[in-house]
Amino acid sequence: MLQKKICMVGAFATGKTSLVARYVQGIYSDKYQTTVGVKIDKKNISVSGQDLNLILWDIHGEDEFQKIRMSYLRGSAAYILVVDGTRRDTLGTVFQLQSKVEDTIGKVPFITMFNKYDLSQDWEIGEEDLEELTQRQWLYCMGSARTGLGVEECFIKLAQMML
Amino acid sequence: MLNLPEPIVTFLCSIVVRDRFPAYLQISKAGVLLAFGGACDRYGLDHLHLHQSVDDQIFFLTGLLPLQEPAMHMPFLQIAEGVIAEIHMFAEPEDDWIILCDATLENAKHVLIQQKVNDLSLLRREQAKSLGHSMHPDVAAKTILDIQPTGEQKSLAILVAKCCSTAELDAQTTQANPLRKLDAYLSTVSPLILDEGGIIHQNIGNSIVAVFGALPSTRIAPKQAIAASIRILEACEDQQHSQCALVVTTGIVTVGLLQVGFGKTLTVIGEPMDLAVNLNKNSEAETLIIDKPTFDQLDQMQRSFMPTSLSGRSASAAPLYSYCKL
Ligand SMILES: Nc1nc2c(ncn2[C@@H]2O[C@H](COP(=O)(O)OP(=O)(O)O)[C@@H](O)[C@H]2O)c(=O)[nH]1
Ligand SMILES: [Mg+2]
Repeated sequence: MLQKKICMVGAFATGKTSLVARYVQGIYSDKYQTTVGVKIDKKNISVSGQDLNLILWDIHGEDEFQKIRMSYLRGSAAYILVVDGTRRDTLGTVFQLQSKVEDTIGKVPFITMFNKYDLSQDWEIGEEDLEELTQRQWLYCMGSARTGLGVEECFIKLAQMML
Repeated sequence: MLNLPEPIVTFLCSIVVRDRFPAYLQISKAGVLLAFGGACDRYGLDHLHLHQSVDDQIFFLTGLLPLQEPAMHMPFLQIAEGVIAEIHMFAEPEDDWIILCDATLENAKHVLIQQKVNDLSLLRREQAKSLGHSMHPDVAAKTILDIQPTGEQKSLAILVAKCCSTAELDAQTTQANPLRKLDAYLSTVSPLILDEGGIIHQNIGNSIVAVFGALPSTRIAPKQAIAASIRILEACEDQQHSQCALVVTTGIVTVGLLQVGFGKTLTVIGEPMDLAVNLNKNSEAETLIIDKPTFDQLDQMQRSFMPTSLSGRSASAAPLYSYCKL
């Protein structure tokens, strides 16, 4: 079966682990447990009549003490840039990370996920931010690991881009 | 090997084998499993079939083989429930080798510390948010800031960070728009200031003014301000097209809340503030200039600073120091 490695990339506590847990196991927890290193999960899907085995690499977030090891990204067929919509600076983080990732593994499909869409009252992402993404020709989606909104769609969209 | 006596080598090896549960895989360049051994089942690698492709057997290797570089190291990889492996891979002319060791305990230690760091960082952000928005400034001053709303004398460190790349106005693309640049700059700089225990006082033109020492901390204000400054310099270096000029001063100022327009804002008055704003006017990209009171409190960090004189300043003016990356 066709097997593809996909990495979750973004600042810490944006919801990378939660998105994978929601997508693969269908579960969610409000308790924050930080990731150190990588957790690997599998998910079989079928897109456009093609069976795919997604190998999901949930990589620790970037912060003051843990810089993301680019070697973790080697061999990725695609990646998801995760932004916490209630922390606008995490968008700046993915802008920086994306160019580092591209330097390491070259041009492969990616999608930006604005997570925590359930917290609309704290939303810090504005129209002009989305416009900037459009200008960069970045594909993005909104969603919530908490409610499950948009999560599956995001992974499917990315899978379609890989085929 | 390192010229160690045989018993020592044997003993060290026995410790590694005993505590780390090593396992290995040998894989041909075509992706066929040639050999395996050690504690493979610990890492969920049971039922391995020799002389068959690894693709369907060992899923964490997807995309990685054959190795593109001579060696690769991944310190923490959770490939089976409850077990975290440290993985070394290296390439030989004919085959690739993979070594797995148990790093579960080591990982747990890291998680403990990292969790605290991240929790604190999130908490700070929350604090800063409530300071800025919802909370009444009077309440904020009493409960979060370590100051009297009616005004008091306090020793603070003042950091002024100027964004130097906003000059050219090009309305054609929003990316070159100075406002967008300043915005990107502020969102890079602000969390660094908050992380080091500072609060953002105001922004004037293309500069941001932060004060350290108003929030309770175990570190002295000038050290916090310098730590923030160095991280800002590094962050700007990482980001193409963004340059910054930084100034830090320290000294006694009067702080309090002042009615400005419709709301009360934190107000800081005094010589260190005037000096910082003055120095900021002429400061140049990729520099960090500090005054003597700041310098005097830096202990070992003093080694990273050199006396400097700025053009346009009279000889009688107080000495200044500039940051030199070691
Ligand atoms: N409200 C809300 N919280 C979320 C969402 N996704 C994650 N979180 C919370 O954000 C925190 C960080 O999530 P985590 O998945 O560990 O982030 P990671 O560091 O990127 O892996 C946790 O407390 C989660 O419960 C979401 O969609 N909505
Ligand atoms: Mg995580």
